[in-house]
Amino acid sequence: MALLEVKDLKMYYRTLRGHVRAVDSVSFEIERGKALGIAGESGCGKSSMASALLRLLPSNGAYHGGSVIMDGQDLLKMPEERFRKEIRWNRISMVFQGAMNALNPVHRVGEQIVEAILSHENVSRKEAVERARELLQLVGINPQRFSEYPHEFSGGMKQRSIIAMALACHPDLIIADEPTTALDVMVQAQILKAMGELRERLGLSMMLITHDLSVIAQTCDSVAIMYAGKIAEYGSVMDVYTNPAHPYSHGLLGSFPNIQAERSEVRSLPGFPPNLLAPPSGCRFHPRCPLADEMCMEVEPEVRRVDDSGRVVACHKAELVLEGKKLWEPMGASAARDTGKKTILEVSDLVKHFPVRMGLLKSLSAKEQPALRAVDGVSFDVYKGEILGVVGESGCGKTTLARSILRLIDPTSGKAIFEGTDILDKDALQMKTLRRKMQVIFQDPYESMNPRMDVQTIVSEPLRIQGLFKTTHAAREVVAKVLSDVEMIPPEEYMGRYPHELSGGQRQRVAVARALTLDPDFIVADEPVSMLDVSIRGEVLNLMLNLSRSQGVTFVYITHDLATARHICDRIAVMYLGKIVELGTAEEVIGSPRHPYTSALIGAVFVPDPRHRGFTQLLRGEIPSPVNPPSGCRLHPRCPYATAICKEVEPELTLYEGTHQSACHRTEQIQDQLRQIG
Amino acid sequence: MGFRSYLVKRIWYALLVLVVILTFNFVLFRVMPGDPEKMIIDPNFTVEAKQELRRQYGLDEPILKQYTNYMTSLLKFDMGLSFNTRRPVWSELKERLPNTLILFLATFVSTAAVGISLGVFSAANRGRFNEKFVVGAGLFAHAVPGFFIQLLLLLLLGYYWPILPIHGTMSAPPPDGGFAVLLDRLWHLILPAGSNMILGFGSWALYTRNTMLEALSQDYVTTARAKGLPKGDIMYHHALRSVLPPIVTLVFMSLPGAVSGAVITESIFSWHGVGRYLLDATLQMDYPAAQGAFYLIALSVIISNLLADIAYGLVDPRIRVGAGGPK
Amino acid sequence: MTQSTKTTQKIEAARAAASAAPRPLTFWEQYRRNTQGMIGLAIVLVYVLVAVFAPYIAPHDPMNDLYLADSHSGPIWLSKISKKHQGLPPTIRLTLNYGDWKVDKSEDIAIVGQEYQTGTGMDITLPAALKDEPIGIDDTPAATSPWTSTFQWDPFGSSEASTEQETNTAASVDAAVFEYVFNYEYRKPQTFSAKFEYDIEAPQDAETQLLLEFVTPSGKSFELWDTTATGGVRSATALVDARDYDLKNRLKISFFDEPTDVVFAEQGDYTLRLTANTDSPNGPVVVKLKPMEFGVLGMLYGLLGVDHMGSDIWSQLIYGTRIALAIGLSAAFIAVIIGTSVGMVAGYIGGMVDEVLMRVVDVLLAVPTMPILIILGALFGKSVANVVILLALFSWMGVARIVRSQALSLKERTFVESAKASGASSGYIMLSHILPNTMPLIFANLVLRIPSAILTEASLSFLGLGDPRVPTWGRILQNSRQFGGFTKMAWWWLLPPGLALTFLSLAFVFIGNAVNEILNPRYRERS
Repeated sequence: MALLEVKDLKMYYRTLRGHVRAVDSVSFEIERGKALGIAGESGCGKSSMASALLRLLPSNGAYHGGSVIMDGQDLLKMPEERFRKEIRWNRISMVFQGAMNALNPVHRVGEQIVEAILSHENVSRKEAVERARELLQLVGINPQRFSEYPHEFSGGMKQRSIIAMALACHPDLIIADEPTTALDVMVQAQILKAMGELRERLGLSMMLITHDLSVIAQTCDSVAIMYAGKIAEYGSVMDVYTNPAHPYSHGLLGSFPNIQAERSEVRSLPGFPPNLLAPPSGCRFHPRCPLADEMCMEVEPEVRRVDDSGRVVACHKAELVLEGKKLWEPMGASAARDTGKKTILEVSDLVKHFPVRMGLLKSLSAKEQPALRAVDGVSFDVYKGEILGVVGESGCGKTTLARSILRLIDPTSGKAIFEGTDILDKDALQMKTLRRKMQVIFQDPYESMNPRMDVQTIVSEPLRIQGLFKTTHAAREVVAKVLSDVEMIPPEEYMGRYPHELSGGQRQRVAVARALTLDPDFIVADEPVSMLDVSIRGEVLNLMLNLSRSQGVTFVYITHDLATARHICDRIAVMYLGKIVELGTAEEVIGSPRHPYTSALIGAVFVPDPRHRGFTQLLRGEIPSPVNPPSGCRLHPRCPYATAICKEVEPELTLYEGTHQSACHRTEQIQDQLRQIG
Repeated sequence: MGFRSYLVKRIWYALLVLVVILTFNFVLFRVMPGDPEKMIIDPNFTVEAKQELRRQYGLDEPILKQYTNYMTSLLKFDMGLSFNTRRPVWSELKERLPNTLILFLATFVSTAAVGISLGVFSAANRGRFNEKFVVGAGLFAHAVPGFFIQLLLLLLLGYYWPILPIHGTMSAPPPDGGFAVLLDRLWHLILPAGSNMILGFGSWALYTRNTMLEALSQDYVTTARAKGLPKGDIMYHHALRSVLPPIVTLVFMSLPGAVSGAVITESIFSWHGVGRYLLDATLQMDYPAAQGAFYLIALSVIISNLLADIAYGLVDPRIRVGAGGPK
Repeated sequence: MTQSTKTTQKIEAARAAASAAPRPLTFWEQYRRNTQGMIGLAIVLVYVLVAVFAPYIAPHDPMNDLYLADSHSGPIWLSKISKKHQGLPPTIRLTLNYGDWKVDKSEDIAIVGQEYQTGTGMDITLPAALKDEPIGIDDTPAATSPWTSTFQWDPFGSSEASTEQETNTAASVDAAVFEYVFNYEYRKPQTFSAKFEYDIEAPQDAETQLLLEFVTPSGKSFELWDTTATGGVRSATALVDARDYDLKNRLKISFFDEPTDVVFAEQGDYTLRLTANTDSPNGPVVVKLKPMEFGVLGMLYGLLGVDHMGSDIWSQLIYGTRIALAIGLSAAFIAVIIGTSVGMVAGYIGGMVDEVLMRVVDVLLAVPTMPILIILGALFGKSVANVVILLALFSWMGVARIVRSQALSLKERTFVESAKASGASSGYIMLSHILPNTMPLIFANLVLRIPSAILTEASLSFLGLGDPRVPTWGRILQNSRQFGGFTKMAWWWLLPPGLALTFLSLAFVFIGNAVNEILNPRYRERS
């Protein structure tokens, strides 16, 4: 018998404009000891469902029917006080999204665990403290840090302590809502690994809510893919991932770049989820579905079985999907190409230190002003027409590097020769002229546009700033051209819109269009897709690729995501703590990494394929503070291969075969070792 | 940054403010349009007396010397003689200071107690009539002209139904016996302190309510709810505890305003305090007295700001236990 | 392809519909739904109308029309609701012109109406020789008398009319008696007064008498004033005031008694009687009387009574609206301009500039506002302009802090960085990116600053530091506190200015909150 059975659950939000049907007739069950993944784009109702199960609706939320059965009882009908005492945390606990805020900043971490125990179990305080210490130990935190405050913990440790808290009362089910989203890949891998082990050891059931299909592929037994408050497809991970029956699952799965798969086949799923105030008639997916016909528009599809597996799907056309009908245009594969190696930008020994603020007295007494060494001596070339990926975890200095080479901030020292002249020598006026040739695309499409300007004003703003705005008519033509270049057709339809009237993907296209307005040769794209829903990342990446091919624009693509970098970049540079540790073509770096850090990064990337489970956890701990980086090789405290020399001597980037450079003393030995194992 | 260095920084800062205000005071009364002597030396004095005073105030010395003299004398609370009473200003202020402090403390304690508890109460009763009433009353009390309400209360309770004294800090002659004196004082305190409370509680209640609601919408409160903690624990242990730092800050941040308001309250209820002394001195062009009273008031504000910073540091573990800072 | 083109079109349409977000409501559309905001707006509108049309609403000059009624008189309508005030007299002000008098004179006395600025006076020509008995009343105009000739005389001395000496032989003439009857149905007043100016043109040896009497309904007659002039008199004034000791003496009552107790104790028809006669052996005498002003200072007056100076409170209240709005708006405006500039520069430029500006802000915030305003107000002199400047100087810091933090966060926004990447200057970014995005906050702050400026000004006025030349609500309150409003329990003096302040301030707070809710959703409460 299932541990928890959700039947026909409906949950609405009351708003000024009407009811938002956040969860609409959702049914699924969770087996004892198994893990169910709930996947979907943002706004599909998956987080609402998580709080609905624990009866933690916000004040404007209300149940509109359905039941949640656990041990034969309907949890939704249970009296509040009993539910609080018996179910919350005792039977079902939760790991919330955003570890930063789930801990109360004014209470000690340990106390927050003790509190949970004491409110449910009749144990002495001493016993509760003892158990809390054990729990911290269990999730890999030194129990001596019991009485520290949340702000003294790193992000990963906070998330671990929240997991410890979730385990406090031996629950049967843990609901994890995006447990690792805000964390870096390597920390994410560590946490998920720890969670998986604990689950197995304690025989827990888990409901994992995430937008990241690869996390579910790696950790769950079954999966429910939600779209617009409804379940589109629900079945075992193996069935759904290997042979999706719903066009949405198919598209979503296809839009995940797979670092292990061939360099191609990243698709995008155009459009965006509907407004749940007035969802589309019939099948809610029909406006985005390539198979939609009149029936899809009018008749809501039943949830039904389509094959002999246990999977159910809500689609009229599931058979067509299963037959393998071509649904989406594949994104143009980026085969390695020869870009001619004509250097457009030559960065040498670039350094950017940020002074660390401290008291007046201290700064007088200190011998040396401490500094945050964001970029600490970086050299590389960018070739004309290529896409160079700069990859690293947060805090590695990649964004500072991007801003430095655009001179949005002034580097401490070093050179950046752009087409023969040093950018860092230019005065304000020369820089202004130079900016016509170099542009930037930023991470957050919601932030990168002034909300008070319409698309035409935004896109033509560089012309105005540069004094190239001759007539409104001429500017309009430029805007129309660049909007067409970014496939916003017809451009006239978009010119008068304001940013909030655009979807995330459209906004990012406008950002690209704006960067193209001055017809630059060189564009730095700083995490251009990380804020977008996975289904539409392909659009923007594809666009960059096309621009690079058709117009010869050079891109520096800054990202934390190795998988996308691999798919669009010609070359990749890997950064760690302000240094480039490895540099080479995408094939060289991803296919045969030479630096342990690169290997670790690749190992930590989850593959959206349940057939390839498991990941290597190569490095210990988390990235240290760049204020006081380790001596010698900066990776040595975390590196399993480190020897005495790594502690003392800083390794230089060394050229190996082809164009492959790496900065590691022990490259040769590691390669030998790996060859022996593999 | 540890608590100690935080504290040192705040003290430095308070001293800076003190110096700035003293300098301002100096400049104001000396470099103002007109003869500086007129501001300091009573024009009705004899020539010899003026000469003597000029020497005493060092007005014949260079301005920089005057400045240092002025600073040192104020630090010693030497504020000169009042034009009106010919008495040292400091001894006049000393008489009035306890009265002002009594009124101030009574106001402060009652306002904070009523305001904060009503704020918590209304946050706990979100959406009910209770909350709407508190919010409405708070908003109203916040927006009405304070002295008008005080005048109204005075008219009602002092004249129409003369149940409370209409002026003064105590009856004249004072009643016999320690306890009777105390009662008499309290009786005189009711109207000024009570009216201040009625006027002041609104902003406290609203602020407490808003920060409480903000806290109640935080993720850690959701976590606490999910943990199955009882409502009271969530309300007080999590929400209220975490909004204490901003509330404590507000408590002390409101001190300058309270001191400002004291001038009006004291003059309406003829309270024998520093604020009214300042007003009377100013209106009578008694410059040494006005200057002294202003210095005393500014000093009290600086001290209370410093207390605010210290209290904030004590309730916020992010300051008490290293790393980070306020805001 | 099995799908018809029609279906494809439908699907395209559905896609387009799905991609178009609902049009956001305009500011006004949202504001209109906000009850509080609309109430606030309506109230402010009323105040603005009152301020604009003040001269048409207020019957008096609030500063210069004094002694309109007995000091501390309550409003007229008080007699209807309060027993204590029932039957109290209103202000009675009579200007007695030539035509108002009932004249009793002998034929040889000539009376001619004479126009003055204040009304029609009379020139009375008394013949040289006076008879002993009065003759019957004759209303025939003086001009018809064949043997007298009136002369024109301008009291202000510019007349060229010649004085014609009469050579009539008549030895004596009877007195001219003027009577005016008025009805009085109230309780006795506190005071009354009578006043007229006169000139006497007479030969040097002429003895001319003027006598003013007051006859009660029951027929008792009291002498209020008299004079006996030998020869001519130029520009003399007869003044009777119930408060004068002179009158008490004449009525033979003690200093502490009120003349009105004796003279004005009845209800009915009172008669004012003026008698003029002369004994002039050497020619006729001309008595020139300007119109007489007779008044009873009311004990009830106007819509809101009068203050201690007998000035109309209603008029002060109406004109106070102008000052309140003017001071509130201008002080708030200046404060917001200063605050915005400082905050913008500090936030955007940052570094040392920010550090210095914010320390200035901190120090100013630590200065106790009221005391410093009191001292500076007294030092710089009490004038509206000074009050506005001082209010603005000590209230911009909050705005500066808010704008600064907004500028700080906006300059980190990527659209600012995008503009920089295109080569935009700091000025361009501040004006086209930061300012427009800070505007809602600035606007809401402006609205919320207005009431606090109004209240602070009122407090200052109340403390006696307002501009003495303008009527402000604070001053009305101060007067009521200082000049007997409390001992007289004159709530009609205290309440109106206080309520006017309260409603205006509440209205702005309502508007400010509504604007904040709409424009700055961060402050919006979760629903």
